[in-house]
Amino acid sequence: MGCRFLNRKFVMLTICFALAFIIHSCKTKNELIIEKSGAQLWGENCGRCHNTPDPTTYTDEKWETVAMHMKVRANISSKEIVLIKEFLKSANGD
Amino acid sequence: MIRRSNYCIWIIIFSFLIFEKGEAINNDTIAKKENFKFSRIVFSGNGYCGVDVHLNKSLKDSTGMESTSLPIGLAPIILWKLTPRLFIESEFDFMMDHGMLSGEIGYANLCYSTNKLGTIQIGKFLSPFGIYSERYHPFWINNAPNTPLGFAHEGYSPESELGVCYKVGSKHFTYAMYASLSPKIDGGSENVKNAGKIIFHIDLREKFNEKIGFGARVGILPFKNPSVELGLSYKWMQLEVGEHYHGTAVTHTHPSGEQSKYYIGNMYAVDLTIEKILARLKGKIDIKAQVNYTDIGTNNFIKTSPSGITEIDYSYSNKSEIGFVMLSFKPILVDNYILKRSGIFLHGGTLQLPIGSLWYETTYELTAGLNYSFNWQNILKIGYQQISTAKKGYTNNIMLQWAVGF
Repeated sequence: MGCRFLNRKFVMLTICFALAFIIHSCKTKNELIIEKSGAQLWGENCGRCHNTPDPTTYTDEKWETVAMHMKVRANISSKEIVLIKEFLKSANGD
Repeated sequence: MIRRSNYCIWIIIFSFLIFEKGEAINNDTIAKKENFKFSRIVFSGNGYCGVDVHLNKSLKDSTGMESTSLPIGLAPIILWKLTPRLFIESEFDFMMDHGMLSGEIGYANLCYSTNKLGTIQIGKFLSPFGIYSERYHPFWINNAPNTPLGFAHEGYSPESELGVCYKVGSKHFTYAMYASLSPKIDGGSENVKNAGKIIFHIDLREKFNEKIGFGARVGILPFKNPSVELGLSYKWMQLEVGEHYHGTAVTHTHPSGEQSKYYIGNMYAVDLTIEKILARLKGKIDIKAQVNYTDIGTNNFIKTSPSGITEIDYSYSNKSEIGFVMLSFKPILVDNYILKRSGIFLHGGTLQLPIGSLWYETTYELTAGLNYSFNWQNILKIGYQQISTAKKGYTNNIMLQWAVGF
C-alpha cells in the first residue's frame, strides 16, 4: 500500500524529469552560443510575466535585491540575471 | 514532532548565516563591503481595490449574498539581500471582502544561491506547482480582475509550501524540487458537506500535518528566447486523515506505539506560457494555461452518532480537475499613446470536483474585458464574467478593479 504512488503516471513523469535533466547535462560547451544583451534579456524575461519595468524605478543597490528576488521567482539563470542587472544599472541614471 | 522540525529549520538557517559570515571574512573585500547593507532592503508590495456587481437577483435571494461587494487587498513585501548569496523575501497579505478583514503571511523564506545555477529556499515559499501561484497571483500582473476558478485562497491548488525548495534555472530548462509539509484533509467535523476536501491553505497559527510530501516542476523553454515555456509538475502528499475516514488510508505506527492513518495523494499539472509579438497586428499576444489533476484514491466516509448509529455512510473516488486559459492582447506597437497602453483579455476556467462526494460541483467560468496600464505596475480593469454551475445555473458579474504594484 505504501508504494501505491508508484503508478504509471508517476513513472512517466519521472522519466520526463530524467530525460530533461540528461538532455540538459549532455549539451557540449563548444556549441555556438550567441550572447544576448542585457537589454534583450530584460525585455524577454521580465515581459514573459508582466510589463517590463522602468530601469529608473530603483537605484543600483535596490536593483541588486530586486534582481535576486526575480531570479528566484522566475528561475532565471545567474548568467542572465547578471546581464539584466548590468543593463538596469546602466540605464537608471544612478 | 513539530517542535523538532522547527528546531531543524532554525539550525539550518543559523548554519547558513555562520557559513556565509565565514566565507565573507575569508574571501574578497567586495563581499565584505556588501555584507549586511541595510541599503539593500527593498520595501515593495502590491494592492488592489474594486467593485464586483452580481447581476443575478436569484443568487442574492438564495444564498444571502450581497448584490455588490468591494474587495480590497494589500500585500506589503520586504526584500533584503544580506550578502551576495543570501537573501530574505517576505510578503504579508491583508484582504477585506464582505466586511471581513483577514491577514496572513503569504510567504517568508531565506534564499541561498548555491552555485551559478541553483538557489535553495527555506521557509514558507510560493508553490512551484504549476505557474499561477508563483508568478501570476498579484493582481497587477493578472490582466483580468478575477482569480481563475479553484486557484483563489483556500482553493483547490497549492498556493504556498512550508519546507525546502531547490531551484535551478538555465537557458532551456528550469527545475524546482521541494520537500514540504503535506496538506490535511477536511474530516467534515465542522461541515459534513466538506468532508474529503484537501486543505492547501497553510495557517501558521494552526497545527500542521507532520507528514512530509515531495514535489517537482520542470519547465522546458524550447526556443532561443523564453517566449514559450511548457511546464510539468508533480506533487506527492501524505494527507492526514480526518476522524470519519476509512478505506485506502495507510496505517503508520510511531516509535511510541501510537498509530495514525493517512492517505497518499498525487497531483499532476501541465502549464503553458506563450508570449509573442505579432507585427501584423501591431501588438503582443499572451497565452497562459494550466491544468491540475488531483487523485487521492477511493475515500470511504462513515459518520456515526455518539450512540453508535451510522448517520452517513458513502464512498467516492476522490479525483478532481481544475484548469484555466488566460488570453490577452495589447497593441503595444501602435503609435497612439492611449491605445498602446490598452488591452483586451479573455479568461476561461473549469472546476470538476469529485463525482459522488457531497461537495461535488462542475463549474465553468468565462470572463472577458478591457484593461488600461497607467504605467508598468498600475492597471485598471473591467470585465464581464459568466459562471455556470451544475447546481446553481448561471451567474453573471461585472467586475471593476484597480491594481497597483509599488
